[in-house]
Amino acid sequence: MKHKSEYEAMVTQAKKREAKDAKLRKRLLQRQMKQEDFVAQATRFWNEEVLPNWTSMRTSRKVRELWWQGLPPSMRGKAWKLAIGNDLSITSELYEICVMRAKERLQCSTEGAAEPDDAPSESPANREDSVELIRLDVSRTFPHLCIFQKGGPYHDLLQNMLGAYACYRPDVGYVQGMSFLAAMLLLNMDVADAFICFSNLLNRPCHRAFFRVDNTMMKAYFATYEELFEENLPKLYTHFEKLNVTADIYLIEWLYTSFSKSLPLDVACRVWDIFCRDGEEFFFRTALGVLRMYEDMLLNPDMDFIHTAQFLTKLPDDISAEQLFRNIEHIRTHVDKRRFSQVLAHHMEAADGSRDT
Amino acid sequence: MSYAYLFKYIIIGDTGVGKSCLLLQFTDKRFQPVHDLTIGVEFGARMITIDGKQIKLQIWDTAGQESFRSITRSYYRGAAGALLVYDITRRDTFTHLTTWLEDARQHSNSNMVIMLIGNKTDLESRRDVKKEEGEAFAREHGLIFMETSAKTAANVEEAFINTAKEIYEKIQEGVFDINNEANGIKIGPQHSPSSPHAPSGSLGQQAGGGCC
Repeated sequence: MKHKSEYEAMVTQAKKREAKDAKLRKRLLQRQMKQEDFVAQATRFWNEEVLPNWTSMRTSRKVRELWWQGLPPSMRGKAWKLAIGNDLSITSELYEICVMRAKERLQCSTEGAAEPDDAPSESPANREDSVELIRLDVSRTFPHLCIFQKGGPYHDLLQNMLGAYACYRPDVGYVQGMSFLAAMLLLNMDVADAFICFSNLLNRPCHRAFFRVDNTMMKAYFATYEELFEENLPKLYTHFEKLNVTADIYLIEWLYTSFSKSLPLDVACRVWDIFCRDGEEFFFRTALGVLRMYEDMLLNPDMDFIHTAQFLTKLPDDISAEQLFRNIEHIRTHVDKRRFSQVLAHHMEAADGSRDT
Repeated sequence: MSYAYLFKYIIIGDTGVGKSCLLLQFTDKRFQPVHDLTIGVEFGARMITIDGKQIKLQIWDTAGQESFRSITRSYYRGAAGALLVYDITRRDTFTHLTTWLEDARQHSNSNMVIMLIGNKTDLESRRDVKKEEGEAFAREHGLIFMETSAKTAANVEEAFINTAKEIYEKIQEGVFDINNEANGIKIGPQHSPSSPHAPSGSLGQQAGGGCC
């Protein structure tokens, strides 16, 4: 008798659990369908209304709001391309020429033969370096994706693209971090478009300052960041000062890879979406958004220098875009009514002044 | 965990010589054949024991590309030890040692202990720099020298620990001013003057500490 009642209780319990699971499944399915509906609708809207009328639509309130929620993956490449633009007027023919040159160099260096005499003027050491460095780095770019490694489907594309850029801009050459930017673009568009975007991206003020290692400009960007940090998160700012956690410890990687190495790939894409909308100041907002998201944890007395430094140079791989963007929303990029560009201009003047003395 | 001293290390050398792999082998005892490339700096930490004392190593693993030199220079500040790494299969990484050494000497304190490391001994068939050449370079510049393999773990422990031993000896000899944090050495929390009766050996007992 006792067994029977126990058995019945178990059955009711199991049935209850089953019903609860079914309900949860249904809710998840609904949510997924809703999400898919949203993406389908957004895709249609971007494709049919926004992209064909780019200049007039891009600044409209509706588009800007939709943009914040993330571009539909299939629209991403097209929208990035339009937003980055092509001030440098690079053509796919120019890309082909640069790739051909890059391939010749690659062959020369593997065969150990002398370089052709008509190669553009640059120091031989630098030229050698670029080819060798690119070879080393291509396989070390997003290794977990397993597509850029030797034998992977994107290995040659990435290598060619970086080589082509070093030929196009021998004065800049190849600088580490570039392979991640190029890879991000390659994942979203064809190689000629990726090259055009890549070259134009590297011509933007912030990227230009960093990839040419212009110390004066970099100093101005860092000073701007420090000012925004203190303004937005004063408690954490003081805490980091006490711990000696300086921005050059974590911000270098975040900026040189535009967060593509530092954040999960889907989150990084969302950051790039809004960088395309708002420009370079969004990278600084993102940096402070990351700090804000983890502020309580970072303020914990157990977080000494090494733990903080390790955490910031290897962020958790389960960061959710929604949570990060909710934190970014709270970050202001103006200080005392001065906009980001004005704060930056102020620090540039200061840095320029110290260069002259 | 409590410790008697904290030493700051910096790992430097050309890109692709295996700096991050050496660090990973030392801290996690594993080898990652395809490692992410380091941009800026990454960190590792591990506790070791020397002369019965717990020593915490705080290791700064830096980016190797030449373009980053002006950035990585600031990382030298307050380092007690440096591991200067080259790849025994790539002669150019050995040729560049002179500039690395100049940089290190110029931007760190003069007592910093430098360990020269020829890495990738597992690739013996592709060796491009003889062991004797590494030894000669080290002798000429007053560095400690070892050949290692981050892949097989050969000599990795020894490289990190021998550097610490050298620093420790310098402390014993009074070369390092341990109260000046700019030297890259910190006294552990339990050794502060306010808590002389700390659990593990305090500074006062170290006078009789054995020399090897």
